[in-house]
Amino acid sequence: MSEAKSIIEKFAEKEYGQFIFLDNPVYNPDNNIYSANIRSKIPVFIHDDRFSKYQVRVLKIDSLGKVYLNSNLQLMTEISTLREKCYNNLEQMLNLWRRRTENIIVSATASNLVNINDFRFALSKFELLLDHLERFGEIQHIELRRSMPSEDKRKLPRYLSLLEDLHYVRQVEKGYVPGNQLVELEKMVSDEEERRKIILTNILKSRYLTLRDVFRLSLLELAIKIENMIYLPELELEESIYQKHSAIGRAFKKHYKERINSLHLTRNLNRLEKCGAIERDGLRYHGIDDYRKEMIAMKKKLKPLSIYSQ
Amino acid sequence: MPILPLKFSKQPETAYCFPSCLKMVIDYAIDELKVKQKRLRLSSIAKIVKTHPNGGTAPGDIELINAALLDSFPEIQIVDSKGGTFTDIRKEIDEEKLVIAWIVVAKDEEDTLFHSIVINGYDDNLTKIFYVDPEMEQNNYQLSAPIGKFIDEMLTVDGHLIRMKITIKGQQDLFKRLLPLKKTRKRKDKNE
Repeated sequence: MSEAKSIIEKFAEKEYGQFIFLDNPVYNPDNNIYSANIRSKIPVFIHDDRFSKYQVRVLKIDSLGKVYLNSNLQLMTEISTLREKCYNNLEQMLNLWRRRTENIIVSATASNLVNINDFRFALSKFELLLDHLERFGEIQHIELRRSMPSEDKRKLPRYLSLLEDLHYVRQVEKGYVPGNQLVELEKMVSDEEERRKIILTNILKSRYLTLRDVFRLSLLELAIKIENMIYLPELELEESIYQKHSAIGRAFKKHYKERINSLHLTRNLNRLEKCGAIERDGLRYHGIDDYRKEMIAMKKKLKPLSIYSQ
Repeated sequence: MPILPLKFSKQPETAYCFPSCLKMVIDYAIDELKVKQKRLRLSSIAKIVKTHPNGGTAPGDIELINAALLDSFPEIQIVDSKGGTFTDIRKEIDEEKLVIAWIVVAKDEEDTLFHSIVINGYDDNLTKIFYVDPEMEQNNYQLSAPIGKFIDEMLTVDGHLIRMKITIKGQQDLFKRLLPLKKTRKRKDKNE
């Protein structure tokens, strides 16, 4: 076994970068094969602009693939996870890490985000449908077609499908009527604006990925990516991190591999601050304690990052 | 011992610490040691040593950079060694050469996580080591640590010291370069 370990260590030293590690090989007597799990530990450098030193947290990825040796202790390249595949898996895992925090952030701050005017505008097609539904108790198929701009004609079925999925509408022969969730909500909340906010918050909370990827609401995506740059280091360190505008811009480029225009960054930070999703102390932005605690609790319930479910 | 001056190179990605350090060392050789060598971009260095933006640099690939240094004059090469002592560091600094160190940024029972920095000095009382961290910013990259802490907790027996060596060919180059100067000096002496 120690020979197998030594061969795998030597191979790893040449094949993988400094953030990739291998477990000790395990021998399987059924097929006479040794296998070693590939893992990763990536340092996350966290800079708080109040202090000159950074802090380091380690992002662990439990599995990125395996290295196999046959009974003659020769590397089985055809089935082993070699450099390129391993790095692709790593990239996937890092994307998953960022997407997970985006989801957590949206979940925790959705009720604030729906107060941003541009967000409301991005979600206005839901309001278009809900307004009519609440006023007239139904939306007929014909109403979705007659004198409707062609773009809306194409897109509205998607919005209705999402509302149906969340039980805010129910499909009937003639068209759509209020679903159980909407009926219940009308009984509990009399104020129409309040009801809208609750519904839109719930849509954002539970269907952010669909809104981003299927509905392509890019406006939401940019603001949430920026919000992620505030909370992502805070979730790693589990305390508030103060960051200047320039540091947030740099973090954005580092994580999303794209530059953000300074004016757009300011605009979005301003929006997030005004809606109460983040706070500003002079020139430094940071997360809000209560939201961070909520996000940390959500994060702790997630499964470890791994390319294979274990 | 003065702190050796260098041109700072910030790492654009977490995993680019080693290419950034290599850039600082090569630029230093060009600017301060007057080595004739093509200036290399950070992205080119990363490509040569096969650094992956997320996975980092494989220890076995560290010396791949030497392929790009073959035409340097005098010829310089990069030499990696696991572990290292203060004596090793001191020798390099006394010869006015920078040293790259892979230091421990995190450690647990299973693994040690390394980050590259450039050592550029020590103080005369042998209390501090001066180093440059590519993760820092342009305005505060020069750092220092007590020697004991640096050697035992940061470099440790597992760390790497990556030195710049002037090869035998390089020494011959240097000799050839210096020879005309010596001859001229001798002639001058005779004339005087």
